[in-house]
Amino acid sequence: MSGEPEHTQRGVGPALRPVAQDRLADALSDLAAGIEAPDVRAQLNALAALLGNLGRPVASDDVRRPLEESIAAAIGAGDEAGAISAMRQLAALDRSALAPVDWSAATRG
Amino acid sequence: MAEPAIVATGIRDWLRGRGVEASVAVSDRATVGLSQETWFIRVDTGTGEREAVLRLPTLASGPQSILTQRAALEAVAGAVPAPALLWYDDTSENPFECPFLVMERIRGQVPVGWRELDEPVRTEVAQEAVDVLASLHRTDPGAIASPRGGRAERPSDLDWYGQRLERFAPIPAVLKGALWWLGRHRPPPPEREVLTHGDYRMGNMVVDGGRIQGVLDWEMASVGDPLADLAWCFIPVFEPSMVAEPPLVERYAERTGAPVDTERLHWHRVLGYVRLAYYALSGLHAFDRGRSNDFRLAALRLQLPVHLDRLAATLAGEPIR
Repeated sequence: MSGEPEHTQRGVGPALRPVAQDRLADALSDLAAGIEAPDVRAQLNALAALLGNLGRPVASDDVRRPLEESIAAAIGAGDEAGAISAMRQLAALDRSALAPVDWSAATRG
Repeated sequence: MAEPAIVATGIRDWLRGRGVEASVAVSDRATVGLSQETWFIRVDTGTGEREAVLRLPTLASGPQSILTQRAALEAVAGAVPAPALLWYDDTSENPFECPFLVMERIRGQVPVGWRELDEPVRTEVAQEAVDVLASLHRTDPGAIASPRGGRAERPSDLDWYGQRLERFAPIPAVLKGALWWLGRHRPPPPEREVLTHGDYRMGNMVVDGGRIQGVLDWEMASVGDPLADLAWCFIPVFEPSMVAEPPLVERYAERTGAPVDTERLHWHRVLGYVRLAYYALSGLHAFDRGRSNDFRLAALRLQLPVHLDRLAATLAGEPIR
């Protein structure tokens, strides 16, 4: 057994491990389901949607920037098909990073 | 925001000032309605209790939203299913110190989107929605046609959205591309401008027994291109409508007796997505800048990529998801 404190051997103590955001989001949704006031329920569900999407991997600027530049260049050249094609790719890329949201719950509770 | 006791005494005192003795109780407040306060009240003037809805403007909506709504409800009374206007005050000389209106409460459900209705009710209600829309577009706009009656925001007005979006610069590249496309394909003014609802969609309709009992939320009514309403009716504010649109467009043409210009409709559909993106940007900016602590506004940032994806798919002629 070394003389180091236990938490440094393990890396980080259990209490300091980051909470999985999906778990937080799910727990918040469950909490919301038990709330009577629709106003509060909607707020909690919206917050759960935000939590569930925090820190999700998004496309890097290296990938996004060329598409943005393609859109700008196509607009400048009056190239409608080129602009729409680049818009399509960029929009699909950005959307792919999202976790699904129950909008009915997040707007009306 | 007003408090229940203030709402009840406010209406009671206002009615008393007009020689009407009434007991007023607040039964609930609506969850939705990011732009206006909506209170459900019970009013008894001695002839029996009546369920009603009080609408007050918010700082974001401003008093014009109430004035427009009042003018629209007067214009459509008897022409399309809508709440009856009971009392209103266009001035700020009242207990609420702002314009307000009280309308009949229509019982039923307000599904947030078309998908919340099961088939065959979904298609039947969609057909009825088209019929109601055709009736609306034949209705005399009344005071909505006057400069004070309608809103400055016209859903068919590309320039209005273009200018408002500048506040959020730099705007997403996809949105910039859409504005460019819309400018290149801007249709000529419509042959006939009509009374438009401005936010005609499931989510603003009371449904009961498989029928539309009332169309709500007239604060964006104006006089404009009828196809703006038709395109907006089935646009996915949240989830795709899951209704077959081509037969409904055909039905609208039959009911109005005029063919629908599909290119013009497509243009309005693209503008509709720009409008949704604008609302998402407005909401998330309001939260980010501390003007609101409403988490629903913060969550609109999660809708923005979805709206832009559907916008780009629509421009590319691909199905939306």
